[in-house]
Amino acid sequence: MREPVAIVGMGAAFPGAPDLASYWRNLETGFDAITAIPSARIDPALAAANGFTCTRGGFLDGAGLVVDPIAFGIMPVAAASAEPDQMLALHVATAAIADSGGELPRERTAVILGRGGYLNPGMARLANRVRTAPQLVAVLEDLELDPEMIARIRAAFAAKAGKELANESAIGLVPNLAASRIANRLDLRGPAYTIDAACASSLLAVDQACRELADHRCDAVVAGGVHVCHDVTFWSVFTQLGALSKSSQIRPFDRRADGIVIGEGCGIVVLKRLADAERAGDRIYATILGCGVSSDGRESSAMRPRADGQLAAIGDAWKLAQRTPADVGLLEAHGTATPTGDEVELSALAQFFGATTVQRAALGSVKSMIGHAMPAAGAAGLIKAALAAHHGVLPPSLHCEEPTEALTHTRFRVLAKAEPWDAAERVAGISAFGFGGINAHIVICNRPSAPSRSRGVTAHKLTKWLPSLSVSARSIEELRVALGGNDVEPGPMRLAMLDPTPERIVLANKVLDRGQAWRGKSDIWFAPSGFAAEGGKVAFVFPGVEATFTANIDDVAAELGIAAPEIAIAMAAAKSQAATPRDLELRGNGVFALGRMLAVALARAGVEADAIAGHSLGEWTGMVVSEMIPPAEAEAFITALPENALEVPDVVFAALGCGASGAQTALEGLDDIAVSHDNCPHQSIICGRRDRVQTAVARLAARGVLCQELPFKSGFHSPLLAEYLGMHRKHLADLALQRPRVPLWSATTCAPYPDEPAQIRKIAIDHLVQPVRFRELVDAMYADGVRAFVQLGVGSTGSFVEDTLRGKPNLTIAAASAKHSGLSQLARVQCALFAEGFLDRAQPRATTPKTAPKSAMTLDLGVPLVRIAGAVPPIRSGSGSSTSTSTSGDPILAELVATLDEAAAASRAVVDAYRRGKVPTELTTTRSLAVTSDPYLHDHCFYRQPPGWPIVSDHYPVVPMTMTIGMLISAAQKLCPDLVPIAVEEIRALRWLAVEPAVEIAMHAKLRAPNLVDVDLPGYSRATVRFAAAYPAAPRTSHPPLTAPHAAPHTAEQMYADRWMFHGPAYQGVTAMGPVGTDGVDGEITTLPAPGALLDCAGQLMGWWVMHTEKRDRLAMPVLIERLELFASHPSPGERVQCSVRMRDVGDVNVRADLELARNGVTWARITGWTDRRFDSDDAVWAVLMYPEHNALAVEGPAGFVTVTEHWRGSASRELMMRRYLTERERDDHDRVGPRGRRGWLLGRIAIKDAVRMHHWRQGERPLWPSQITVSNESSGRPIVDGVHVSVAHKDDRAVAIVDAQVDVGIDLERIEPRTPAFLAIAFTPGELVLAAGRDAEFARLWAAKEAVAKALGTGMTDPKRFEVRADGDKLRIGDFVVETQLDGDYAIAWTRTPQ
Amino acid sequence: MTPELTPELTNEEILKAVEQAIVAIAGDEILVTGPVTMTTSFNADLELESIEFVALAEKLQHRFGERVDFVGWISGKELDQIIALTVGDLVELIATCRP
Repeated sequence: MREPVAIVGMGAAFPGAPDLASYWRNLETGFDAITAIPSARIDPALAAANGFTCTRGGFLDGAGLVVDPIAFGIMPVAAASAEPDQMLALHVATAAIADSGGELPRERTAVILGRGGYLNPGMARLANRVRTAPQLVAVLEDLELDPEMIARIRAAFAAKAGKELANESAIGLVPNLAASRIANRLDLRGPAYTIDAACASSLLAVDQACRELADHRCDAVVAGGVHVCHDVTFWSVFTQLGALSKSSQIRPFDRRADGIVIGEGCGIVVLKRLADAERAGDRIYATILGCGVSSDGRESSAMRPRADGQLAAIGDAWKLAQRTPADVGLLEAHGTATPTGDEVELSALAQFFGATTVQRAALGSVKSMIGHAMPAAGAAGLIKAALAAHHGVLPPSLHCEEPTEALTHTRFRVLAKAEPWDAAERVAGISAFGFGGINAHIVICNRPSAPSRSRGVTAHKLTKWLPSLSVSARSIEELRVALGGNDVEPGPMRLAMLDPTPERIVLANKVLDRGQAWRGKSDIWFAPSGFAAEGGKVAFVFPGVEATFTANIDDVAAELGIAAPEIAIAMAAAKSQAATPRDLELRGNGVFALGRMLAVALARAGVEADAIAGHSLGEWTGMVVSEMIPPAEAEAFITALPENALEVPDVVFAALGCGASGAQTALEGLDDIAVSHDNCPHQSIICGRRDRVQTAVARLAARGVLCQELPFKSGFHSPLLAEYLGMHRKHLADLALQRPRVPLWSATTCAPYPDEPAQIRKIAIDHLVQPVRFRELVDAMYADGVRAFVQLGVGSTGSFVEDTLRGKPNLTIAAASAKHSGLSQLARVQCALFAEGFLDRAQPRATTPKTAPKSAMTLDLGVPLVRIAGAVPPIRSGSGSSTSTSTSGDPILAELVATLDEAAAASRAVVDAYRRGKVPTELTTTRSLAVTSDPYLHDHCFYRQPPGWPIVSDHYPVVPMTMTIGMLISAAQKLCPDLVPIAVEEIRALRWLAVEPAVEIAMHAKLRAPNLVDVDLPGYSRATVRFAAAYPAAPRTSHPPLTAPHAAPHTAEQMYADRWMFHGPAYQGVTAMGPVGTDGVDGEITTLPAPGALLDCAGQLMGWWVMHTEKRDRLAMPVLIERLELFASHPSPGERVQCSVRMRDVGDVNVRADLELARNGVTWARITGWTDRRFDSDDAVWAVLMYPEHNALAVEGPAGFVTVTEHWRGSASRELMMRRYLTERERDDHDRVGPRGRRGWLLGRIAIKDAVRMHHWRQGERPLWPSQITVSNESSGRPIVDGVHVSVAHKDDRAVAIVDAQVDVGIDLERIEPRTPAFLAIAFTPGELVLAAGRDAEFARLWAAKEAVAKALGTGMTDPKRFEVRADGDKLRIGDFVVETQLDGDYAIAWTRTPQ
Repeated sequence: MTPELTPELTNEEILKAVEQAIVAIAGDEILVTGPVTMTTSFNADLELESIEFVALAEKLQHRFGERVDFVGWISGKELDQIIALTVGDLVELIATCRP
């Protein structure tokens, strides 16, 4: 090119990514931002009316994008009425300019944006007012409706269709303002204009920009594209063109590709001549080497592109770039996933770049992640390629699991995962081809003669306080290199440690060997990908007052220059046992001061919270730190804090070593007592009159529950405080409140505090008298994406979090410690958060502050259908309660009927209004669930047990997710009693809802909009239910026929008989199945009366397909349904429903499908994105799950003992097998084993049960279930099983067990490892040392032999030398015992031989 | 290395040393549930295996010298006594073994 052009700044807002940093994060991790259509964007009624079959797309909604019009000097009213793309482009352009360093030669800066001439939201709203409203009136006039009524309808319609434009605001609808507003607001004086070349627009804009720069007419250009148009007209055009994916899945270059999904967004780059940029020392992402533009001429038809035209553009660009086809490292293709489009593009690529089989370059299409952003698509591709070249990473391209044959004839391959891009010069081509045959191609490379790459080692200086080491890299191998002190490219894998001594670095390398996340042991933190990369959040959690209060913080106070005498006083007070009210107050002040000090310290350390919560009094600290209480008011608030006012005479607390439900059972029949804190599954606190508390404690102690009365006399968090509240109520009423800087979560509602001061006050009062629902709060925050919990204080709060989240990946760390120095503990927090990627999250720039200013707004991108229900009395015909009858021409009768109708309508309106007044906007419904009251749940039990097995909990009855949906709908319905539910969105199942023992659950429903209700079953499930006056018209069934269909291998009856499903008769509704295809299954369901049975059966068909088709991890359970749409009321029992399941993704972890259920060819329900999570399970696990009475997990060797190894990776599958093997009492034993021993204990139990079962099977005693073997322990620890003698041993991931019918036996398993001479001297006699001859394996063998004999004798190993081993031929002998041994890899096994 | 003579050690210092020895054997994950105290039970809290007991004896001999005959002390006990052993019992043993 005659003038190379540098990209010096970039800005982006695309689906799933509100800014450039998140865009790159998504690209690198292969984030699929395609979602179901948010109903606020395209009203489901419009989609149905126009017969759209594509149900998904890329949407900006939900990514957290906010713009601040005031920052640009635009009044919010004007911003709201303008085309949203103008505000979006202005926002992104500002970010791009800030990214470039912020200084542009304004007099000579141009703005060129690609933008299409479509019906955008602003214009569509105007059309509603100026065209649709008169159109509606004209129709009503033709119907000769009463003029007064027409006037009311017109007024109601106009009111709902939005405000009239003020004169000057109309300018906001002029299309070219997308560009000229940027020039205007940022005072840029070069040419500013939009161009339209359809999908090629952005690249045309960049081409134009390069010319402006080469001509020296401008010195900088802001160039890119913007597209915000999910209008129904736009969708209609693409539907009619047949371009939209019928499977709603975009798959560029895949054999199954069937079209695009529509995206949106804005991408903008700041361009300068390379020479100028280098002179100015600008950061240069990439250099544009060449641009090529062509048209197909008359060769093409609108939809049939030509390879020749594309070739011309590509050829021109590469010629200008002076690079050869072999130089290409990445080709960001147009890649629309229309079969014709992809085929033509691949043919052009094959012709220009040729084919190769070695070092194939990467081919991708970002459309696979964000959809087709039309005129902004080229910018999305250019920014992706520039970031890839800049970072040296080749990002993946999604959903191309089965590449087309044409791809094999090219130089390219499609990457499923990111790969390093190691070339010194990284050259990429970017294509964008528009309808009508307009082609553009651009060639870029990373900055030539770039200085050495950015350093991964200690690139992030964590703390000035203490030595620490933090490295990031793209692979474990590179992390090792970095640990060795060498430079590597930064990447997503991070490792941090405190005090990097050589020993710790050795240990860190071992952590890397292990390859799995490592959180804090030995002050090392490592995460292979990190929570931040998956969108995880950080929460600050403030503890409340506890019995002890001690922490090292003097060094922190000194460092920060904060004097906090309250803390020292509180620590002194906490040492005294008796907690007087005064002590409590002092302690409260100390906890408070410590929390605030740590918040300041963490802020200084660069740690930011995405959410804040508190435990009990800690919530007040949260109110201050989150600035919900403005900083100016904070001191006054603290001074007036009422801890000392919270004393209630003779009321005490007791901490219990059991969960809240267990605590509740102990309160039966007692008054003046309540559960005040639900801390975690294994701790709760009760509060009440002392004698009641003592009674409850005695009851629990009798059940072996640990209880402790606390030294506080207070009724905090219990209704007993209610009458002592006056002062605090006044205090809160006077307090100024504002929207918190960071969302503050309430442990009373288990949701973020609302924005309304009045509502905040209500919750703050409730907080005093209602229980602390901390466990549910933690679950809710986790469900909201919080993965890191930082405890700002000391005490047990963090362990409550850990107990609640046991088994789920999370990071919980305290910012203060009684053990370590204050500054070192802060450094630990930094290290931990760095490893998870939270410390170097892209810091938004000044123009897009993270905590949005009050004037910030989300862009209103939708054009909802105008509805006037409620504003005008309904005109009903036929089915209403109207008296309308055929008046067949009789004018008097007609008049009478009209009068009666009017009267009826008026009275209906009165009743409606009355009801509306009565219907709340928020409601909590409770429901008890138990197998006794819901007996059909006997048929929804997870585990088969022997016939007649009496212990219900061993069957594990759980509420089907589909029944939960029904419960959520019912709870929501109470807020919209006159409407019908038409959709349920984002249905999440978080945890099994087990009903034995009986549970009482609470569902919180909250009106979000007049027809939209959020429902939450905390900890278990949540969803959003959408209502309407009537069901929408049922769409035609739209699923394509199955691929490679064949008959099902068995009947539906056999499916149940052969145990494919765990369901009993109440849920066995599948009555016909097949055909089955490679992409799904069809079937017939007969509606059953059990709640949720119909949809559960649909899920069974999907689950069956997975079991039938997959070879591993075949068990799959629902976790998410993106969208369930209903088109009629629920079918009655006996009705037959056709169900078709179409698999969309079959991933390693999740499987996802779309389902349709229809009656007589008419759709009843449509399900988009039904997602099942797969349990890791191999053949052995599967066999035990299917036929537990005949299969074992353990393997029996020829020597006569059995070995069981861990068959699972995840905790979910571990839990699955735990429940499969253990009975209720044994599960209690399991829960009592400490964390260190639990893994081995379970393996041991499985080994014993399997060894005993195999022993009996040999005698022909079959079947025998795991639950039928009861294992307990003697006080010595020796396992006891009725009728046989057993012994067991476990180590690491394995256990061994041995059974004998006659005599006591012993078995042991030891790991072979080096021992020190001192160890050997203690453990072995001189004779044994000779026998072992210094070999590690022999020492392990001898030790195992001793241990086996000690077990057989039941004495335990006291003095090891007493069990002296002697050699006896090839056997070992200890006393009278003959011991056999075996070496197996790294382990030695020894067992006593049964005397013959 | 000559074992350090321990006449001046307080029970608290001995406890600290025992904790260090336990951590060296069982890993610092045992401290997750709190520091080792006089009432910490070897069986129920620490879940030490017998081979780890030997390793502990080795560490203690290294630290306090041959006088502390941990193994001999244990072998004089009944199984139920061994199961009930606490860190405090061990600290007491070490304290009484002072010259």
